[in-house]
Amino acid sequence: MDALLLAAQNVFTPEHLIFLVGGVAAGVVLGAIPGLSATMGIALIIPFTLTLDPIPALLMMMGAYKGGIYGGSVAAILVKAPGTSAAAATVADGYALAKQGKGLKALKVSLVSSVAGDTFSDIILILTAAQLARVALEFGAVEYTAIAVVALTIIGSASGKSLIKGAFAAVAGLAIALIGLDPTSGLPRLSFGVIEFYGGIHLLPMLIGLLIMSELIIQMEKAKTVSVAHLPPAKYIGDTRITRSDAKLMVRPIAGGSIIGTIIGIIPGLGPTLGAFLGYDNAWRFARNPEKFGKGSVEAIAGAESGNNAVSGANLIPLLGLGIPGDIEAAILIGAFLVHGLTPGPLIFQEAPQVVYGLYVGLLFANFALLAIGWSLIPVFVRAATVRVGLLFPTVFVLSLVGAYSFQQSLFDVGVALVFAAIGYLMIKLEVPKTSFLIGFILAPLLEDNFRRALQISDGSYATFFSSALGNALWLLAIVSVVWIAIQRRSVRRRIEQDQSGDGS
Amino acid sequence: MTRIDARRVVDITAALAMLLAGVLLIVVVFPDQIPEGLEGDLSSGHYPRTIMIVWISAAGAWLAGSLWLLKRSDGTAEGSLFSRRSVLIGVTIAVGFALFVAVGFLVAAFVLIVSLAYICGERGLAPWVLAATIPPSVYFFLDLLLDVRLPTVLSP
Repeated sequence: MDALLLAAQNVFTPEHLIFLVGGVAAGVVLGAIPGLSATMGIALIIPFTLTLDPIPALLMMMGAYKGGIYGGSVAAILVKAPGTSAAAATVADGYALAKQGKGLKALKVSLVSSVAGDTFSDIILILTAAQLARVALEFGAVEYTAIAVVALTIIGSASGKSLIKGAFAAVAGLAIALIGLDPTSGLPRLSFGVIEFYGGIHLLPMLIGLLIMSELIIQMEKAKTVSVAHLPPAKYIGDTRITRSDAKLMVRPIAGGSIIGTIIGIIPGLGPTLGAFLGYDNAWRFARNPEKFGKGSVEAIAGAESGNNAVSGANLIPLLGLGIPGDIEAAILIGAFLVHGLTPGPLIFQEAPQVVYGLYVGLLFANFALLAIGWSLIPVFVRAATVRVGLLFPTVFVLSLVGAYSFQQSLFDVGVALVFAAIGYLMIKLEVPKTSFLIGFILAPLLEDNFRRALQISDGSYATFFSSALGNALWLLAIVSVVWIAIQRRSVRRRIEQDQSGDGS
Repeated sequence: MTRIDARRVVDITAALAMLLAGVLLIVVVFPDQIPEGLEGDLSSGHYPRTIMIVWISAAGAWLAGSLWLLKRSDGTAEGSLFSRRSVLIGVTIAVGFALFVAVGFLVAAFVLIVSLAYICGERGLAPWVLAATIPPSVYFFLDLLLDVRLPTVLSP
């Protein structure tokens, strides 16, 4: 309790609040621009926080993350172009409401649902992450190796369209992480005599190239001016606000979406898009007016938005408890922790409790900031959704070059970012999931350290990996999850084929 | 004649390239670039080799999957990997990086913003105004507030 009060004191300083609120506002604006996303927003902000202390830097990035996920729904509602993939579930109903002159109502429903989902998952994070970390402190090398493999198999098989490509991407991430010094002997590995490679590939230039630059190239390839349809004005005062009957309709989908999103967030690799669609599906199942779904349903928006935002807090549970990023946004946050000299994982609760508790307080406050900013600055976000992307994307590209350079003031890092931009571009074109690659790269040290330590302890016997009951349970979990995901994918594919043949006949 | 699905050919080529890269790495590059470790350390070579064996297996599975899908292909052709615009963007970025290295940030950023905006279909004064104002603003912002000095032709 004392630690929380101390953290609150630390967070509620004018300087820290400015960074937090600035992060939220920047996130909403970036998320609202079609083609940009919460992911790109956080990755773009990291280089500009390098000179800050860890707490304001992390608060700013968390604010941008939360703001960015909500911002995606602004473009979805007003221009029928989701700013983020997670907002895709909101498009049909949000835009339908906007066409009826109820755009402001849709934005407010989306905002309240997002904040509710976010707050719920943050509370679950605060209640569970430390408990998970306490359990994780009992793990040995074998268990950690198994956990890293479980995370990689789930993420590799769940992300992207193809299980095999996901697995390949994860291994490619592990292989790229081999570059640098051998952690045991200190001898250079795959450096080809280039001194810059001795320190390994740094995460930040890689993130900037892989996540921002490659996406910008794709967006610039198809850039066209976003036009706003002439949406009709509101006819009644009730069309611009959440009425009592709307509020009653929203309760059930928000509760369901928040729980579903939180569960999705805890499981590595699933992400906010799935949270949004399952939240939407749940809202439809228990809807009072299911016939309105797709035609402008308040319940649909509430379910989808609470579902996708609830993923964000829950994503931090495996990140803080085990050091495992649940999805790409959490992977970027790991980068943010690392550049500020912190390693997320169970030890962070002992090594930097002030940062963890500061983050908790900041996360909860960011939700209120999002509510206040989202409510009062709706006209600004409406403009962001209609910005001329042909001017914006080149500017953001130049800013990302600056970001890559700022990390170590090195042109080599700019080159690394550009190489990963090309790799990211090819991965998008070939439908190889970048999430798997990135998380493979991030988990590589955890896997290698523990794999090698386990082998050293057992004098090179691989049987050691099957010597602990918990380890065996984790291996079994890896196999079961891959088989389950494969079966799920197959049944979805069959259903799509059946639908297509039904349409065709 | 059945048209070949362009995307699947690209997929097969990529999978094959990754498979060959994996074999090349483990056979040619690793003996020279992976230290065997200190005395008593059994794991130095084990771990990278294990990773590469999984790489080769995954790339093999990717190739087999692509070939199987090609066999089942309905013969419809999809879009190619690169468009004219993507090639233009790639060349512009390469020129921008060369300018960044040779002449510095301000010139490179100016050229990049104007050229990329033109490729995106922007005409008129706006890209020029943006290119003339944003790079110096970023330069001074970083220099004065974050103590980051971007390279320019004037840098020592």
